[in-house]
Amino acid sequence: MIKSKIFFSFIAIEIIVIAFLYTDANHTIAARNAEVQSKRELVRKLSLTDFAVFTEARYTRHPSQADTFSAFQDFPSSMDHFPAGSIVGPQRGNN
Amino acid sequence: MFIYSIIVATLTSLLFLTQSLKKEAMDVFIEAPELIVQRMSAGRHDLIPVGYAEKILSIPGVSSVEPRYWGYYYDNLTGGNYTLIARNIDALHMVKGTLPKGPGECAIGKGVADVRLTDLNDVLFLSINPQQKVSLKVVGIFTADSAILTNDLVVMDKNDLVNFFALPKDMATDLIVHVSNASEVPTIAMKIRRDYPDTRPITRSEIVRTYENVFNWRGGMALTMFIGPLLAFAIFAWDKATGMSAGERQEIGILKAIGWETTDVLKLKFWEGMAISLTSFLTGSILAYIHVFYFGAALFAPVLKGWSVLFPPFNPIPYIDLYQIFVIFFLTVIPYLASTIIPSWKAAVTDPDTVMRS
Amino acid sequence: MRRKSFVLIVLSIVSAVFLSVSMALAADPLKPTSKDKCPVCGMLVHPYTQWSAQIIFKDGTYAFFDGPKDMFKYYLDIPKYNKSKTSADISDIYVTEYYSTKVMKADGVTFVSGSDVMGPMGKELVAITNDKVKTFTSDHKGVKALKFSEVTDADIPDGHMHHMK
Repeated sequence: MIKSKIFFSFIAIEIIVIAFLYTDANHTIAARNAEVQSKRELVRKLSLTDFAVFTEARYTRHPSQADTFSAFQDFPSSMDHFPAGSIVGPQRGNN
Repeated sequence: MFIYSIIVATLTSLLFLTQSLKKEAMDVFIEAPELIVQRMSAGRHDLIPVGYAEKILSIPGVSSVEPRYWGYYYDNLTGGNYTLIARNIDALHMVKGTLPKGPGECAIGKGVADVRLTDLNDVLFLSINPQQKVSLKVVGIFTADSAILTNDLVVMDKNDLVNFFALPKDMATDLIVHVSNASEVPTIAMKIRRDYPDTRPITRSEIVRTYENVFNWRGGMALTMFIGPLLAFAIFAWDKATGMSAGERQEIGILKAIGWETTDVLKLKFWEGMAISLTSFLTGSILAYIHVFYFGAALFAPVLKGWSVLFPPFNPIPYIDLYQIFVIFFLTVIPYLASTIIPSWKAAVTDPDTVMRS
Repeated sequence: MRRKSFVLIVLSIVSAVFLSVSMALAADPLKPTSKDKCPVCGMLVHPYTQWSAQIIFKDGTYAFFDGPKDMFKYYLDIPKYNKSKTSADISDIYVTEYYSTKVMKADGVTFVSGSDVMGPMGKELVAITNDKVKTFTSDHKGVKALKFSEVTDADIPDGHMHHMK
């Protein structure tokens, strides 16, 4: 009996925590709306096209601006030698 | 149960992070230029003659064309790659100080400021070789909460940048084409390619789509990282399924012997599995939320960072897609239940005597 | 000297009168609010800024449309939609030009039917400045190019609900 009580109170606590986190998420989204607006302004005024996340290679820094076979940009059939290249693949060209 | 929670936490963290970054990219890059025109030469992105702008401007629907000057700089001192861009604009919200008003000034990203130990009014010295060098007074630093966009930026005056990179006269990195009516963008892109076959127009929707792909949880970044924990979970569940201990089997045998039906045994095992997986699932989700949204996915950062010297701290906005949480639920809870019930069923249908003796 | 100032005064009065009269005659285009609905199809107008059209009456009342097509339906059959008005009450008609997304007088542009450019309600009579009609027709497979006064009921394409993204 006692074990089942522990289990149910544990589940109840977890559900309360999740409910709290959920409201926290909604609250944070609302609170950071101004930040998103400012970021839009940044993108517009600086005409940015990419996230400054992976700075190790051209095609990971600006995936949207990379040419169509950037993985081999240094010489033909060169290996993809950046770790982030396994995460950010070169984009397929539309043309 | 602990391992179970950790696996759920890893999978869910991954989904939380990619979903949040994707949503942010969608939100933010709808303000990216409608059309960017690059010139391609020998299969590479090359400088574009500013003169191309004239003919592009005459295409109906184009409201203006402006050259964009930017490039990369490898900093020998710190081993970091900076993105240098030339932009003359007045004010921005997310910058401490001001933006460069003329030659000799610059605004830098938080990451650049940190690795170069540079503060406002300090001088940033950049040099490629004895002829190509520049000293810039830091008049602005982009705020930390904009780091995901600005971390490695050095914004400077156009003339400084052109001289620093020794760009040939009348050449730019690419051209931004402003289009009044978004529906006309594909037609304009097509006409630019027709007029200048050596160019590659990149539309805004392609930029957005790029990020949709990079942060798509069923591919790219997420999938690469997803496979590890998913396999781990498969091994974990497989181990449970095949390695039912003699004690557990004996337990089922005893229950059968005292008169329990097979269905009763299965019900018991189902609820047992449900209790374990539900607790683990909830714990894992809570851990994931805390990891990603309170600690900026700190455990993933070293993996994502790779060889980047400048890497922005993540501060993702908690956009949560309930659908994805259901997917995680079904990917972990259902196989776990199956892997506990099937061996129990096997043990339950065999003769209790055999089970207890074995 | 005195005569000069007299002339100036007269001139300024005349110009003031002329200005106010011309203002009364020509109403400036309005901006749709988030409440304005198209009287023909009932759709909200403000999400479709690059398509919106408007008819302004002499008494200051107005009607917004989510595209030129519905504006023509209304214009060619005013009593059906607004019993208190006739075409004589109309002060100005504005449409949004396709290439520039600028609001322009309807009689100053050309309307192209049959093109592959879809408005909020499907096929449209797309408003194009006269000098770009040729380009538009060849780029977007336009069929007929009509001046404002040439548009008849038969030229209005059938409306299939087609939400633009």
